[in-house]
Amino acid sequence: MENQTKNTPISKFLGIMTGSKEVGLAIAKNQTELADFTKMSEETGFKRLDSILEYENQMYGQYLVVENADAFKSVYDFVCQYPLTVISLFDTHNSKIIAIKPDYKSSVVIILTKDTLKGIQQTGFDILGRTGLTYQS
Amino acid sequence: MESPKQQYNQPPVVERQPIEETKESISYLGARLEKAKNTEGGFVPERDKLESFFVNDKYALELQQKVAIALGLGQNLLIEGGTAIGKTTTIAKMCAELGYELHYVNLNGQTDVENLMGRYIPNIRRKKETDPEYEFSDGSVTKGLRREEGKIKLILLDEVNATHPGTLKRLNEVLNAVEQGGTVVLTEDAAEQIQVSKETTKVVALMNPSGQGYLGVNPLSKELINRFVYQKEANELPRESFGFRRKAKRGIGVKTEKMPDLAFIHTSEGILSMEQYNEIPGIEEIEAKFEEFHFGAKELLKQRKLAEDQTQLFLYDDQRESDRVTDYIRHHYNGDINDTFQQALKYYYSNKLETDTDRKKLGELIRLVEYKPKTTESKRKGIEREEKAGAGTTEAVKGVSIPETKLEGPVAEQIEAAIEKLGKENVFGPNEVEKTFGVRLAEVPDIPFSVEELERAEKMGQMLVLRVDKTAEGKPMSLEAMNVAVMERWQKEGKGALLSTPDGWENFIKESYKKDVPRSGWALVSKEVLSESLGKNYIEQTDVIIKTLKDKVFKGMEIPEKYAKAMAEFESQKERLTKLMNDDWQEAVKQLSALEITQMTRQTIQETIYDLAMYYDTNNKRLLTDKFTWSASVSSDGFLVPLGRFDDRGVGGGRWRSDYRDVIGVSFSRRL
Repeated sequence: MENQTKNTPISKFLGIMTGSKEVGLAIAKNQTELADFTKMSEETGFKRLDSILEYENQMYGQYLVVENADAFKSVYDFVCQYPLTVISLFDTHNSKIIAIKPDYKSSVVIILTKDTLKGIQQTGFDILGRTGLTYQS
Repeated sequence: MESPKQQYNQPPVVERQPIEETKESISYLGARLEKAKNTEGGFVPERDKLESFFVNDKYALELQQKVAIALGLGQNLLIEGGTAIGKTTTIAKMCAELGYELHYVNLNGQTDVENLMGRYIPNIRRKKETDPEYEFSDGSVTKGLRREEGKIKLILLDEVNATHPGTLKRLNEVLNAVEQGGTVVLTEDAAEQIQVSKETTKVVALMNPSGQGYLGVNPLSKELINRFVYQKEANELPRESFGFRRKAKRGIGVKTEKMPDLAFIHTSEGILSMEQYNEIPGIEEIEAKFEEFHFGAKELLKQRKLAEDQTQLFLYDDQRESDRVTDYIRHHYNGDINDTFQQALKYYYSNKLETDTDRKKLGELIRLVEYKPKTTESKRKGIEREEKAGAGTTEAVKGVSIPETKLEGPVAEQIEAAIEKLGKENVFGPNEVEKTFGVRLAEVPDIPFSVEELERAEKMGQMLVLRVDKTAEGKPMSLEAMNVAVMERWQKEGKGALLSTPDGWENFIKESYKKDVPRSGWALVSKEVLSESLGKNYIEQTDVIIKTLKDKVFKGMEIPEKYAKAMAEFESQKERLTKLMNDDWQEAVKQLSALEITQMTRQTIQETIYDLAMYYDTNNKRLLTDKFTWSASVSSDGFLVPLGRFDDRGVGGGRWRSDYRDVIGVSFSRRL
């Protein structure tokens, strides 16, 4: 009977994210659930990005795990610019600003825990106001 | 081919789209911006993707117009409004359409100066000892400031009220440089400098309202706010927009809302010089009233009788507001100084206010900023007022001095009396004919209207025009000849064109373009269309004309036999003509045009153009800027021709479409 009380699984959420013009957000209750989310994302065919600079077009889906508020700025900049069809980011490898153009065929989801989200919001990043579809179990 | 009824009732094809695009520019409700010539490099947003989901409802169109005004004038813009209103997307969409590079900077608390202004970094391309060890790497702002051939760049400063004071200080310098076309020093040793131009770099800042639950948001200082043209927008999308956008996205509604003519502004082809600005009729009076308004608005703001509950404070700055208003007039003067000035004041003063109550309060003051031509000032001799008449003649343009036309005898007295009754700006006699068309008359016909008729004409908003049918060379005063007579001088004086595409007109009326002329003699002409005639078909308009003749022109007088006969003819044929409109509209057009009442009370194409040219040339103010008058003339393809929407591209004309019926009326005109 346990299955009957469960919310929509994250796999379903990842499925409906396809083609979205906004970055999605998946909020895990804790580290255990965060691990579940990442595992499920991998199984659904999403590719993990270690840095937002690894973003690529023409992929089914991509996700980024954010573990703390430090160095969140580049992710936030990406999220804010994603709907604008052109994203300026500082390419740390080549030390210059580059332009990325999302094709919106794939989707991008940020996965983090509630505590991390709280920390991010407290540092002034209005991530909830900038992301599109949001998932929590 | 449309059905006869539709064709008959439909207004001109010269309909105005809210967003009009040409190869070189785009106009957003009339606020025109040039496109970038070079769109390479990857920073221009993608048009097809943005336009696929963007809906141009009234709110979105007005926001785009506001953005376009500031960008066109090279003024830094700040928009404050809730996240739901689509500020960022609007800017990105406009950049995509215009080919502007978008350099986005989010100024949340974690952004430091180096993110914006660049930094020195180890030179990874260094190969030999002499190569510099460090090189300068641009930040988002400096990248947007650098000039590149053919490119226009827009720096978008998002969340500007969530940043550190230190960052704001540095931004202040940038804003100053963009505003004044100065230099931005990038490094402390001044080794790196960028020459900035407001033509190639545009700055737009966005912010969410403080005190509305947005994170890390604080009011900006009044001084910083004042570096921008501050536009206070809604915190939430208006309900009508929600409904319109839903319908459009469901595919059951249009994606662009139709906008009334009043929503459009005018953008001139060239900027008015200060000399031309100072020559605008009434400018001194309106400047004095502007001064009064400015200090009145400042006082209301100081006493918090305006913007009482707004957390974001702002100023009505003496210098900046004054300069901005002048720039606006020089770019957007539409021939009506009252209208243009009031538009400018709404833009720079009212739009800073949040509540409708405040805007209404200020709106009442704005309405007082107007120029009222003096209609009874002239006790002068008719010919004295023509002191400067020679200045604009063809000969004068060529540098040849010619003596003025001297009026003597009864005609001079009649003209003087007409000026007394109608005001000098509404009487166009031999000197105006000479000034506008270069024709010096050997003989001037008597004015055939009585003093009482002139008094009634004044009440009806009419002008008195002396029409001539021959040019200075004795050739027909055709549309072609009128165009040639004024074209060169108007271009020189920055006055725009007389005919909206002369080729188009020639094609539209064929041989009539070079052949047909105004009927010579004096005529009384309504300066604007009769308001009751708007939104009516030709027969219904004729009813309005007859009512005007009975109730206003000849009220309490015996109707002259000629008019009585013409009215009777129409009444006797009205029913048959109404039926004919449905059965054979082309035949109906011919018969309607030939009616005596039509010929006696409506202008022909040539007369409309002639009258509009005279009024504009003399008063520097256009008539029929947003309306059409239905003439007595028939086009080569069989339509009764409406003319109007006179802007710097010239007078337009054409056929008609049912959804624009409200802009066609009739300018009542009569001759004896």
